[in-house]
Amino acid sequence: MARVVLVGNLAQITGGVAEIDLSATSVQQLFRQLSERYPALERYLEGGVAVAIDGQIFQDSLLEPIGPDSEVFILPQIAGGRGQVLNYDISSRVGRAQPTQKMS
Amino acid sequence: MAKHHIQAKVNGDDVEFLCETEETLLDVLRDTLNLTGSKEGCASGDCGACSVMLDGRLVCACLVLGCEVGGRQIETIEGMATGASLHPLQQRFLEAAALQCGICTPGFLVASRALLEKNPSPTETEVRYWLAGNLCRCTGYDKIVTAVLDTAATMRKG
Amino acid sequence: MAESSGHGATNGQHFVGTRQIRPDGVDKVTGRARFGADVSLPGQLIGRVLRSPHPHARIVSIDTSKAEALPGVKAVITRQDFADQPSEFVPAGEMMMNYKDVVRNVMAREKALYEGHAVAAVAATSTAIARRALRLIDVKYEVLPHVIDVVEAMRPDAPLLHDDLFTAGVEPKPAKPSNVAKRVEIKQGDVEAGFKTADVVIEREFKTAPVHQGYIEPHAALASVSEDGSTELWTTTQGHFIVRAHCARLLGLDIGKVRVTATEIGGGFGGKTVVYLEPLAIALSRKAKRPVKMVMSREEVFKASGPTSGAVVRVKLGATRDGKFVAAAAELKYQAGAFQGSPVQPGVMCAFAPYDIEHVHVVGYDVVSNRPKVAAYRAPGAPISEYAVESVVDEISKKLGIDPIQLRMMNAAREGTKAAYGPKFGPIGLEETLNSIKKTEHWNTPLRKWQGRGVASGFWFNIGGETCVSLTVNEDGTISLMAGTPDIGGLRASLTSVAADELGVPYDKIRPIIGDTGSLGFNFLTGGSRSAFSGSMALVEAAKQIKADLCARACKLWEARPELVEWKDGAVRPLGALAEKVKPMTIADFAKVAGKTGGPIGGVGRINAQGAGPSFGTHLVDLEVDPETGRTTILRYTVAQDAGRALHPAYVEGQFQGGAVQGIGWALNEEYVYGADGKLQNPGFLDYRMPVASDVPMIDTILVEVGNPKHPYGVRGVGETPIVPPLGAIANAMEQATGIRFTELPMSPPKVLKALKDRGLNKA
Repeated sequence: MARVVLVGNLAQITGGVAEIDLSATSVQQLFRQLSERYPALERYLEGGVAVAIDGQIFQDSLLEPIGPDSEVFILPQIAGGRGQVLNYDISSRVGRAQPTQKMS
Repeated sequence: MAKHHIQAKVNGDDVEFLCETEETLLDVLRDTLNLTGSKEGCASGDCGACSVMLDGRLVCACLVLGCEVGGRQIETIEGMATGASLHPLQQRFLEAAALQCGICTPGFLVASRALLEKNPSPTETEVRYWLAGNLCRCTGYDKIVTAVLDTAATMRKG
Repeated sequence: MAESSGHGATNGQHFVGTRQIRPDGVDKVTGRARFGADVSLPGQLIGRVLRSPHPHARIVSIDTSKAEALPGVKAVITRQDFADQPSEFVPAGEMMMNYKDVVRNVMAREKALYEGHAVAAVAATSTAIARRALRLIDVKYEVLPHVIDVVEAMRPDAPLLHDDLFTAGVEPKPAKPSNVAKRVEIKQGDVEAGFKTADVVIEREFKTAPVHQGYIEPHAALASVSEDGSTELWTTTQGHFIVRAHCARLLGLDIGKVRVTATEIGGGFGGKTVVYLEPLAIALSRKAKRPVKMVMSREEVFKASGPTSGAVVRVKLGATRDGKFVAAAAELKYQAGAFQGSPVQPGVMCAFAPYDIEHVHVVGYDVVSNRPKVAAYRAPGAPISEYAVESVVDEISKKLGIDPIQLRMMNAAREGTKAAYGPKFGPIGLEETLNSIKKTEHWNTPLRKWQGRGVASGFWFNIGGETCVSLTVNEDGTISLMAGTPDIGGLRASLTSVAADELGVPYDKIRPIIGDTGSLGFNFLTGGSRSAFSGSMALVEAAKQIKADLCARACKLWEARPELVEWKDGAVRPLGALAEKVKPMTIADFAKVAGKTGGPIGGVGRINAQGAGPSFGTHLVDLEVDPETGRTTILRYTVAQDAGRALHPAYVEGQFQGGAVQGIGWALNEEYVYGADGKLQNPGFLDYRMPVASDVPMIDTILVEVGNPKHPYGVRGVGETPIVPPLGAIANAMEQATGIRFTELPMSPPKVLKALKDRGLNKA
């Protein structure tokens, strides 16, 4: 299970839940699973967040793989991207580092 | 009101144009004579992007009226390279990466040439004060000043 | 990884990492290069904007009939010509903006929200007629109370800019509207517990003034709309694809019908990532059915574009006796200008990013006031919060008697450190920049009375993003390179070097251009320090396609199986026994037979670049304060920054030097000065005092190269980080020179003199 961390305003939407273990193997699955659990999150995720997978930040990248032991942070989109974004906060936690996905 | 009919020399060529009283030399160069190498950054003489030579004197073209230049000689950036070769300052600016966006470059080159004609061996401080009327927001001036000093050294050697 | 081009057409010469002459250089030293205001079309009209003289006023009515009746006036537009937009956030450069606000910022609707806010625009046959027409437009205003200062704007009784703005990010949802658009925060650990373990805690409040990006080229746009709605636009922008998207949206046009060409751009620094004149020029041209050219005056640039936020920042930092940072807290209040969207979010995330601190809590507020809407400015938000933090770090170093570089080294983020904003850092070069500064002769030179030395570090994320580039092999083997991100400081030189090394073609056989929006797939803008990073990544892809194609063609020509050919050192080479029979073929060889072997040769790199590596920098500055005048002279300056890999070292140095000098201006002189009437008092270069050549020394640079493993050449973005450390470094040097901790920027001569007088220090 990947450990997913979201806090701030996003955690307000999940009723204060900031850390969730999910079996997602891609960003798309991650968003889908999060949205199923917390429907109010969906528009925020669609709205353009950055996703840090094992320390590497990805933006607008639905197909990026997530490993079984990955540590994932949902961050505010940094400097650009094409999606919309709504107001939310971010937070963080300590976790194990994993080898990051290879870029082409 | 009728426009003024002006005859002058620009980069050695005879030019003739009509201009309104309030039009500046910069307006005339850019809009009437299509010499857009001189840039307008402020229209108040603060940025030096429109630096040109008027009868051998360095001026901001935005502070001179078009109707003032009758019978006078104007040199702009477009006249700086002669024949097939760039002026040594132009060449050195390229080699030294003395430009980033390049909008201020024509003004710096015209002003730098004026300096070297007056003072072939300027110190760094003299270069910096001479060019204090030309704003550059990209380079931090380092490579511009270096390029001018290097060119001066090269030109002195002949 | 990069292919080596050992023995191809370039005879083993590599271009990446060398200082080639920029391909667009000759045009720029001869006056040929065409910038925004340099393009014209036959029959063009001149467009001008009528701007609000009031900082805050309801627009009761606009009567344009007299202006329309003036001979020579061909079109007049007002709020009526733009459909309202729903509330929807979109990227505006490096920040987010709401279309509902974008449409109101380009043309005021219900209210004028700052002095200089566009209220109407005209297109006429001459500038003089356009000016006259503006005077004939009758706007009835109901003047409202205004608020300029960020702290005042946050008060419950402050004049409200938007009655539908409710603070986001607070629970429960506020019942009343306010000027505080949102509250953001990052939090990790338990700061209260953390501070209890600290032996020393410093808490201080800082204030920074809004500063303008200060590009020398004013905004300019030329639009031509034909009867069938086809729209052409030439504009000076950091992102013509973004301009196209915004204009299509605001004017209800199909994106495919709008073709935008980016002219050469005379500086941007983030300020040319949004639209101002472009939608107006298109709307005027659509009405007049003639091309319309619009150019801002410098006064308009200052009053109606940019700047970045002014802010109030409170920082609290705790450390143990031996110098370990244990807890950090900050509160940031950033001005957004008239519409929400200050860079407070990145300000919050960057504040403590250079350090490894267990307990961190940063809160930020995005606050509207009657000022022009802020635009991105180089590492948006970061210089402000990091200035405050670096000042407090310096105080801790003095209090504990630990050398400031040593203290930073002890706490520096390194590979594996969990950033204050969450994830762990990959390989980063902060320690290397600190080390290299420590080793300089500069660091070890003695100082005299009234002189001070300051050091500060800085961080910026950097981004990748959507990028499309093409490489076309011409009939003679020369290469056309097309990129879709405007070249703002040497991009074409960097990309050409990469293409040359990838293809084994000499640098001067490649001609790079910036393609228009019809020539390439979508490109995100030049910003976030992304254009060389992402562009070179996309070029590697494009070159890969060409190499694969050429290998396939070679197989056909040589009637060989694929495993008997390989691309190496700039040519397709036969292997094994085949090598006895045929000679390697370079790109030039293939170009000759392109038609006979399948047609034109080329590749298109289309990527969404990921893996941008953060860039850290450390700056060192010496300065001297004149106790009689309060004037500060920068004596010496050294920048060390991690570039990952410098594709073109001279232009990387240029980014370091330019950023440092912009930072010097921000620290010492630049500020927006408002009168009690809410009007800007210094909208010109004489009174808005940017550094000139005689204000600064040479800026020494140290290129640190800790490769970014996510980039084929190891590149990191370099353009933004250099403006982050100067504010703190200079404030720290001022403290050493005067004994006074300046907590307000700019540290301009009047302020410094007053501080010296207050302490009886101004008698030299």
